[in-house]
Amino acid sequence: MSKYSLFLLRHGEGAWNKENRFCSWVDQKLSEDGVKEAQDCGRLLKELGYKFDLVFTSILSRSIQTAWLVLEAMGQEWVPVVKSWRLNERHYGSLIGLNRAEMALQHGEEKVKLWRRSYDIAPPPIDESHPYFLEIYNDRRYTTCDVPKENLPRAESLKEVLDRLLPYWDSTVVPEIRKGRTVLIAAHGNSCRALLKHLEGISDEDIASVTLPTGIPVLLELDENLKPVKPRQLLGDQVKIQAAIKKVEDQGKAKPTT
Amino acid sequence: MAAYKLVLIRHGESCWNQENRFCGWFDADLSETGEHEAKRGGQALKDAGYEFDICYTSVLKRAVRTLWFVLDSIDQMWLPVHRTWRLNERHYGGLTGLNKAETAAKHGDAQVKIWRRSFDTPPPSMDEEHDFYQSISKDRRYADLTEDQLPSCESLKDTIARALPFWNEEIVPQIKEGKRVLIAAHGNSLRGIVKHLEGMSEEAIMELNLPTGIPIVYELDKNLKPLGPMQFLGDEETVKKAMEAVAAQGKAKK
Repeated sequence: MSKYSLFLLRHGEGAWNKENRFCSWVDQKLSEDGVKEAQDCGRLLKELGYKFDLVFTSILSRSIQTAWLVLEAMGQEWVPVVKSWRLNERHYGSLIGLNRAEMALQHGEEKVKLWRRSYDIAPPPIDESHPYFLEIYNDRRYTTCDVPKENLPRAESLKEVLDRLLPYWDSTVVPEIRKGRTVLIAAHGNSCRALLKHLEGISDEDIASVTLPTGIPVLLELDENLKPVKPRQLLGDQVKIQAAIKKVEDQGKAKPTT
Repeated sequence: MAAYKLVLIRHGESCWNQENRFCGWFDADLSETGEHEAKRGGQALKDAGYEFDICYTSVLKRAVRTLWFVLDSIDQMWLPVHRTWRLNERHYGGLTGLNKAETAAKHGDAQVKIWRRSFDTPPPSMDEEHDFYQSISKDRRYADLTEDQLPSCESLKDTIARALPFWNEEIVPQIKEGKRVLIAAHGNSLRGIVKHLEGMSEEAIMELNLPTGIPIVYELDKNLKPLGPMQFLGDEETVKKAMEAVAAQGKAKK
């Protein structure tokens, strides 16, 4: 019997998504299309009559911006928003900033496949020579995390994403859900996937083929042990949902430009 | 030497301001002008290189959205934000929704004058018959307030009395820990903080109308006493106008 409702939302398009570059911990805002995705999502949730009590986001602007746009569309700007690096996108290490073509050229198709499909293999770590190293690690927000800056990741596998997400889920999100509060987690592709893997008990092999479309709210109905009582529901117009799923799958297949 | 710096910002024009209606706890949105004011305020903070550690605002969207515009401008969207009903605008009770003409027609000019000039006389209560009773008093965001806490109307004195505990118990400790604080709120809740900081009299605070959309900066000593008058941030023209407007208020004919 469903006791709790949890909503997950993967933010929409940022400037680099258009170029098929790994954005990861680089702090970009939503593109115009990404803004529209968030607003559409908010309007849908409002039409469906949902009322949030609490919203969690990462500390990357695009997820916060998404949450704000959703709340604004719903007239629920007053709802508390709590932010944590533990909901950040997966850290792609030295691959940050590369597009899929460049990655294949630099590292070879096989390696790229391995990083993308494996659960526990991390890409090479980012180091000081990387063009985006300072932009990330000099950012003041990383001095406000619950681990010292020097202990923050330099690269992550999906497993490592879940390793740093799960303590936050258990200590901070779960107690709120158990109070009966309707929670929205507005985050990223991989932080949402990691959480889904945990909640739905998806295997290390199977998680590789799970992708969430952007801008489509995902409803999980949970029992009193926080186990899903039914499959996750992607809310909204089915045609729109199919188009969003296709968009994300096509990105994964992007041919390198010659 | 300033031990601390505090920044306040009063939200700009709301859709109801445009119509000259008593807004209070009605959750009116910013008008386009109000959005522009917020962005301009954010730009002023960005130009001056301000960094914050923690933000406070009310549960009314015109203040929350003002804060959002500012945080977006200064690229600090990741800052923790605490929302509280205690920073809400003054509750105008039965006057909520009425415009100036309607108010005078309904209550008479003499009564309106009393309300405008009094520090501690509240307007009539918002009762169950009021158009906005359901949408305000029964709004989910106030579900945790006790019967004593949820107002049906407020004098300026009442507004200040429920804003200051939050200032003292939540905000002051953060300032004393060295956190740089930004507060985005409303004319009357900010008056509460200003009156307290500057030790102003009841008459003096009633004369003071804080400019909208302009960041107001206080430099405070270690006892949180202001080292000087409030400063405004912005381009020369905007700041000059704001300072003149505030100075003229004290001399305004009643």
